[in-house]
Amino acid sequence: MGTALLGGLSRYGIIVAFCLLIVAVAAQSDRFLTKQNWLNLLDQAAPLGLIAVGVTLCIIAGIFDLSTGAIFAVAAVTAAKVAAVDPWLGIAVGVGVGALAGLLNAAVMLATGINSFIGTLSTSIVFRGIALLTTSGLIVSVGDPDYKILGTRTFADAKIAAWIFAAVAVIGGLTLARTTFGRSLYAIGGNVQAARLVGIRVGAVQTTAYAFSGLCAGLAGVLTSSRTGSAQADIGIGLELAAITAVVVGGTSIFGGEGAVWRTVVGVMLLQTIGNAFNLLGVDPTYKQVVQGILVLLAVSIDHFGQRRGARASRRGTDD
Amino acid sequence: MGRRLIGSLAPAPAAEEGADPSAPFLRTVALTKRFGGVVAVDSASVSFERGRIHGLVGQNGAGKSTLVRMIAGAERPDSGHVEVQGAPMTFNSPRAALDAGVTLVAQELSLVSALSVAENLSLGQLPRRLGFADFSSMYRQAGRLIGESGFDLDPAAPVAALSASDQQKIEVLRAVARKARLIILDEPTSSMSVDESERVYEIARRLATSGVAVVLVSHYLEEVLAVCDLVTVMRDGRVVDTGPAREFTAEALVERMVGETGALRRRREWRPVEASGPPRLAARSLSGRGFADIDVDVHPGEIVAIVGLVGSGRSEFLRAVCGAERPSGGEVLIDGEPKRFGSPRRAKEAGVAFISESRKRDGIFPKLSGSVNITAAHAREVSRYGFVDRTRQRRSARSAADRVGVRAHSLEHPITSLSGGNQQKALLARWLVQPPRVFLIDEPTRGVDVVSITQIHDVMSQLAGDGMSVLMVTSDFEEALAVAHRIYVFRDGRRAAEFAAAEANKSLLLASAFGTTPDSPAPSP
Repeated sequence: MGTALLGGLSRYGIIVAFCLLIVAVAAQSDRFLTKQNWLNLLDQAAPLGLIAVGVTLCIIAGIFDLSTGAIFAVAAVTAAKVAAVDPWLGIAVGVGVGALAGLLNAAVMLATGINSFIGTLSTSIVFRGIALLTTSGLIVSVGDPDYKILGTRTFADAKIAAWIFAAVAVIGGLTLARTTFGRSLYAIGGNVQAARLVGIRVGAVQTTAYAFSGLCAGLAGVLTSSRTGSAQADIGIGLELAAITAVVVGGTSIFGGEGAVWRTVVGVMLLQTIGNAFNLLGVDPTYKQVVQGILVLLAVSIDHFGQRRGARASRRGTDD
Repeated sequence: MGRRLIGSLAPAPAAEEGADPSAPFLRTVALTKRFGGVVAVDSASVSFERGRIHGLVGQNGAGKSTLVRMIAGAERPDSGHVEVQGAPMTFNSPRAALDAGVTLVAQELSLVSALSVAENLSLGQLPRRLGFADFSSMYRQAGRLIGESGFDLDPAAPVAALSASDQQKIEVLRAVARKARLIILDEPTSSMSVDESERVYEIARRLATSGVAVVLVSHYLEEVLAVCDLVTVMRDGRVVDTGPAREFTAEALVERMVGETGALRRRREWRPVEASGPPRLAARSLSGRGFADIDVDVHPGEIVAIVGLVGSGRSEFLRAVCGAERPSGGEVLIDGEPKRFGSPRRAKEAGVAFISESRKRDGIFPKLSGSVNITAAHAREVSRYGFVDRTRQRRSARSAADRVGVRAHSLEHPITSLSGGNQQKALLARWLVQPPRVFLIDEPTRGVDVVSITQIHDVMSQLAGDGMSVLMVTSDFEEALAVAHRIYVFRDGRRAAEFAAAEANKSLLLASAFGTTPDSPAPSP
């Protein structure tokens, strides 16, 4: 039946779409299904993917984190600055700054009770401002070659950045799917009032989600800066929206309470593959955004359809 | 009290073209509606005539609200249909019903709280001049409407600042403004004072006089009998009786409403509870938003019920006891020890569990499975080193679910796939993974089928038998009488009376809830 088909599409459509895309592009280009191309894809996807994993946990808990792009920049420039002293210390400080920014987000949101969407939008402006202040608007270059190890060196054929992305995705995915903390995230995103009444520490769980998202964004910023051995304050603009896009395309509900990290990984790779396909097939890259935009619309309407079905089911169950 | 019914009703206005003039304005033909496995309305046929006030009464869950929602297009019948002036109609939406002249003033308000009273009254039909909103004539019209009604409302006041009863008045006026020909008032006075209710009834009379068919759904039987021309009684989804109001007494209505289900609600046999020693749970002069100065005791093994009208502060009190809301004064004691629950989590740690009155709003996690819902309050018990042990989770959920008789072929599907009764039992099961010492339950059986009601009552009795202290809030006086050892009556945020269940009866409780008799229990004859 139509509804059953749409329901199935809503659940596993992303995988079908991804496979179709792979088959279609592979038919057109010999270079697409090569190992080197995929290793490149994975490496390019790493920064966005890292952020998207953090954002996934937030969205499932009903939190919008719009500050990840700014945290990405602030982490990158502090890492590059401190790297003048010691490259490894710089990397550690950069990642730490990311987590700290996430904690700051949580503190602001919990203290004021502002909705996360508008709250993180505001803090993102502050974070980006701090990045500008730190660099005085200049590019920060790192002389020490050790700083570029994470971004450029390979391990077992893949870039270290790609390995880090994979590791964080596995850790994030396991946390979400298997731990009591992960379950609290789903519970809070699904019904925050009920979560409070069953004794879940809503504030603590949300704080951890914000911090994790900040940490991922920080890590992504550090990796990106490590690739080029430099950083500046205006990098990563729009990355926060790209991350949310990837999460939603993957099929995690924008309304919170359901979703998974594997979905986000597929979403990220799907978006990345589209970009790659435009390159390989020599299509005018200006169309890329149009295609990606339509994709997001499709993903969200399928989610919306699922929501309405769910709403109907729950009304049936609880009506007096 | 107020004005009596106007002696002669206005003659019915000329019927529309193509309509059967002899037919009632609206007739339902065998309307039926099921929710999951529960039949909410079972083949209901009723007629509503112009110029008449038609009362619709029944117990909670008798199907009154569902019936009127189907008439108003807010709910689609599974079978049966509606006829307007003899012509069969299908209302697929409230809009379609409105176009046919049918308006429902629902229990849940549907006002835009950021707008003014006048703006809400003209919502969707704002007067315009040259394409711009004509606010001065909007205020004029609203002022006239309010003036005619005799209500005390400021057209310019923002709705958000008004009390629930004032908001209800706006709802009623909005139906009047829409020039509806059938107006259904679903419990219009449940949050109003006697004086305010009288105003609503006067509007109803005036509407009827002007040829409108008025349907009044209400729990206030005396008022229904005084105001209505005809009364229809519903029980278990069926229409059991219809007749002129003057041929009924309140007692006769109650008898029809209760019917054989009275047998299901027979009182339980109680072992007397040992009331020696300190109470397990005690509230001392507890005050907060909506209630003040409340003293309540619950002993181990005791089931205590709090009854009262909507807005009497019952639920607010319960929420304050469990830490969901901060009390402003007084204290809560567990085994004689003062406790300050800053959050439900703290209450849980002290062995106090709470189920709220609204499953949907703050009970279930709609997207999560039955198992996860049931074990949600005890994640630690079904996990190891922070990782959920799925086998243990499934086993714990299953055994808790079996204890309360949750009927589900699988608990691994989203909980919304279960019926309302089974969802409610799942919420009960949620706290039985590790039974608490004090169980606070707000409306244990609201919107639940008859079989589940009995099961839930049995579980509550068993738990008390095992020494748990149960404190419940219920709107259903019969439920309080059937299940509780002791009953407190709340009125206007105060504890108005206390009864031993064995010495109480429904009319005593009602009188005390309404404040029509002295509050101390009547001496037994």
